[in-house]
Amino acid sequence: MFPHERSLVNNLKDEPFVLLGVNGDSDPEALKKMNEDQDITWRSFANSHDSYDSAISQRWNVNGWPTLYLIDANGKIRNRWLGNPGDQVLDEAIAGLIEEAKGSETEKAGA
Amino acid sequence: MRGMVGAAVLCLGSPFALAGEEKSLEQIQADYQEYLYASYEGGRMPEADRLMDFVMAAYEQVDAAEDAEQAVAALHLVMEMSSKAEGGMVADWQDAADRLSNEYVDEPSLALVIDSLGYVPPALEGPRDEFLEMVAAETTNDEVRAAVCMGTAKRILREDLMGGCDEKDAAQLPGLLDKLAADFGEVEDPYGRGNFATMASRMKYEWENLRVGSQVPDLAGVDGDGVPFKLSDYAGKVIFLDFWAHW
Repeated sequence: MFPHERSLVNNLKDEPFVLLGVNGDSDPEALKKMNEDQDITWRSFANSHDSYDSAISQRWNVNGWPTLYLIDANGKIRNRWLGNPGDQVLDEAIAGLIEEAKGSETEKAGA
Repeated sequence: MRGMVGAAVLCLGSPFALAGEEKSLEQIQADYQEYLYASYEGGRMPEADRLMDFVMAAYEQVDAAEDAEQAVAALHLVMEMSSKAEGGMVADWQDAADRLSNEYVDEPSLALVIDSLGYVPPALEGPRDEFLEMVAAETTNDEVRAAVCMGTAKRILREDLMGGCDEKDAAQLPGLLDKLAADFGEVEDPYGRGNFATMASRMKYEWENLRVGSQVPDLAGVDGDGVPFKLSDYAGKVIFLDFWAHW
């Protein structure tokens, strides 16, 4: 999944879009090493650095990896997937929400 | 030499023991797993004929079982194997399910079988739901009743995550989660994920806050450099949030 995510980050760098991760490895140090080893340029939360129970994945009841959420510019959850649905599905869903976000910005500017 | 003979049998992939050398359920399961992984790695579906050989070997272990727990484990393996053929080997799956619900409905380890039924091929969804209804109606064992309740709730959440659950399931889920907390809260998850009260409260959080259409709750934490940040720092942008790990 990393190569496609890398290209999303590059191709959409001027768009109202951000890729964020929640990394399930043990602690921030492991995450830092993963970011360096895998050339991961986007920002991730370290899932669990206090205790097992405070882990983000526990609170969000994540039972499979990857689990993916797509959130629109208004903060509404618009898609979620258990497992990678494929590049094309992701690209189209993201592009649609970016168009929506830019459309509502234009409306505001015109009003 | 014995080890080499064993290895040769593994290469041929026969689940049957050589004469005089009965295979244990664990060995059958290991051979089966090896075959399954080799198939998937080669980009193939496991073949029905081969799966049938494994199913028959597992079935022999049901009759050879020394106690109810072993018999349940063997029937569990039959169900697992017969769900892996393309479309599912419905008759074999059903047969194992019938034996479990007729003969072992009060056996505590039935909870492990039920826990594994969250995902089955579409052809087995109807039989799976009937099996769970039958077990729920017949069992007098609290762990088994708890497992049916938990298994059903997990299935609904999973279906919702995979693209949406149906309305009837959506209507019954809140009641199931309340029941899990109230009646079975002290039951421990067999895989160490906490007790059912804790799990039910996480499931409730997901149902109430994380479905498609919900306003996303904020997240706060630290990045790989230990720098604190929040999801809401990126408000106004489209956010693609990936729960990832190296494994």
